[in-house]
Amino acid sequence: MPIVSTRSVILQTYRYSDTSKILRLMTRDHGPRSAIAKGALRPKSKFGGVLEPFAEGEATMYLKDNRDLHTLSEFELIRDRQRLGVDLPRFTGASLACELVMRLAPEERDDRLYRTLLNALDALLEADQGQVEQVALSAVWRVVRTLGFTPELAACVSCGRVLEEDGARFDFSAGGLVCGHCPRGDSPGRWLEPGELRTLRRLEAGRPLDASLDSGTQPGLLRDFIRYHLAEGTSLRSLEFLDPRAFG
Amino acid sequence: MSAIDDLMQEFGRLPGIGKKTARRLTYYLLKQPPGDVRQLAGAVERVADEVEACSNCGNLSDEDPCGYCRDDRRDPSVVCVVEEASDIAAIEKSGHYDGLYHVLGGRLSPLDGVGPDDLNVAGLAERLRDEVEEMIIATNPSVEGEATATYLQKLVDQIDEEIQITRLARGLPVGGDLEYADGVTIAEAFSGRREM
Ligand SMILES: [Zn+2]
Ligand SMILES: [Zn+2]
Repeated sequence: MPIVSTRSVILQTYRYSDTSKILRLMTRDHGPRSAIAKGALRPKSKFGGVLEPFAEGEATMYLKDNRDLHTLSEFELIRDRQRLGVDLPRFTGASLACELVMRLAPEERDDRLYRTLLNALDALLEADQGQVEQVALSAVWRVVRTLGFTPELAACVSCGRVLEEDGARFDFSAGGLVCGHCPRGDSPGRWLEPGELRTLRRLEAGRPLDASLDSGTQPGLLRDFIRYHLAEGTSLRSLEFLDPRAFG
Repeated sequence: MSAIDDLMQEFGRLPGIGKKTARRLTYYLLKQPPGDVRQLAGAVERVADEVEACSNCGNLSDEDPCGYCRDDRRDPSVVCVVEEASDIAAIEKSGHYDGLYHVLGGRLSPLDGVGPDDLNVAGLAERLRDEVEEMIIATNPSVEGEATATYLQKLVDQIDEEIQITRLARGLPVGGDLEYADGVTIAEAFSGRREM
C-alpha cells in the first residue's frame, strides 16, 4: 500500500457517514482520484475543516491498486478558496472547471492541466466585479483547450478556407467553424454573426473584451460546445447553470 | 429474496450503513420480541404517511402549518433560513432563538445539479413580503452554504431593501455542518451575527 504525497485541488466533497467525507481530488501527480477523509466531520478532526471545494493542499494518501476509493491521511492547506462562493457566476465557473477536469482528465500526472485548473480558480477569485462573467468564460475555455478540445476558429473544418471577419456556422460536434460555402449538415450548431465570432475568438484565446463586444450569447456557445463536443452521451451538471438567467 | 435478505438490503440503503452494519441491525431485530419490532415498523410507517413539508416554512412535521409556525409566542418579524429541516433541531437545542424558520431543502451546488429553482426560494420570497424585518441566513459555513447565502442576500435586496439581512457569526467550524455544532457554539453564532 504505497503512501503518496502530492499537491491536490479539491473538486467536490460529499458527506459519507456521520463523521466522514468523500473527496474528489485533482492530484498533480496522479490525475483525478477519490479519497475518503475519515472523521473529517468531527468538530475536532485533524483535517480542521479545510476540506472544502476549490481548496489546494498537499495531500497524503494511501493509494490502493485496483481500488476507486483511497484513504486520505493528511491534507496540508496551501490556499482555501472559500471566497469563490461570493457570487453565482464565480461559483458556477469554478464548479464547471472542476467538473470538466473530474470527468475528462486522465488518471496520470499532468502538470499543465493541474496548473490550468489552479489558474482558472485564481482568476475567478480575483476577477473584478464587472468582469466575472468574462473571466469565467475565458477560464473554462482554457481548461477545454488544455484537455485537448481546442475549437477550430480560424478556418473552415470542412474545406479549410481561412475565415476572416465573416460570420460562420459553429458546428459543435465537428468542433469548429464551417464556412457559408460548405453544405451544412444537420449536426447541432449555430450561425455566428461577425461580432459574435470576434467575441468568441477573444474569449477562447483569453484576451480581454472591449466594451463594444456583446457577450450575451457566449455562455450558450460554451455550454453547447462542451455538451456536444466533449461530453457526448454524458451530461455535465454544472452546464445547466451556464445560461443567462443563472449566470447574468 | 428471503425476508432476512430483504431487510438487510433495505438497511444497506441508509446513509452510512454498510453491509456489516446492515447484517448486525437485522439480526438484532430478529432477537427482539415481535411486538417491539412491529412498533419500529409502525413508527417508520407513520412518518411515511403523516410527515410532510409545512406549507409555510418547509419544516418537516405531521401538522400543517408546523408547530413553529403556529406558535404565537414566537417572533414573526425574524425568519432564520436553514438548509435542512434537521438544522432546526440543532438551533432549537441552543435555546437562544425564538423567531420563525424557513427550510430551503438544500444548498446551491452546480456540481450536484442543484440550482435556485430546486430550492424552496419562491416560498421565502412570498413570506418576506409580509411582516418580516430581519432574515438570518444560517446556511452551513461551507463554500456551497456561502454561495447560497450571497444568492439569497441579492434576491431579498431586490424584494425589499428594508429587510435586515444577517449571517451567523464565524466560530462555527468551516466545512462543518450546523447539525453537528453544539448548542453553546450555535448560541454564540446567533448573538454575534453580522449584517451582510
Ligand atoms: Zn468550408
Ligand atoms: Zn412551518
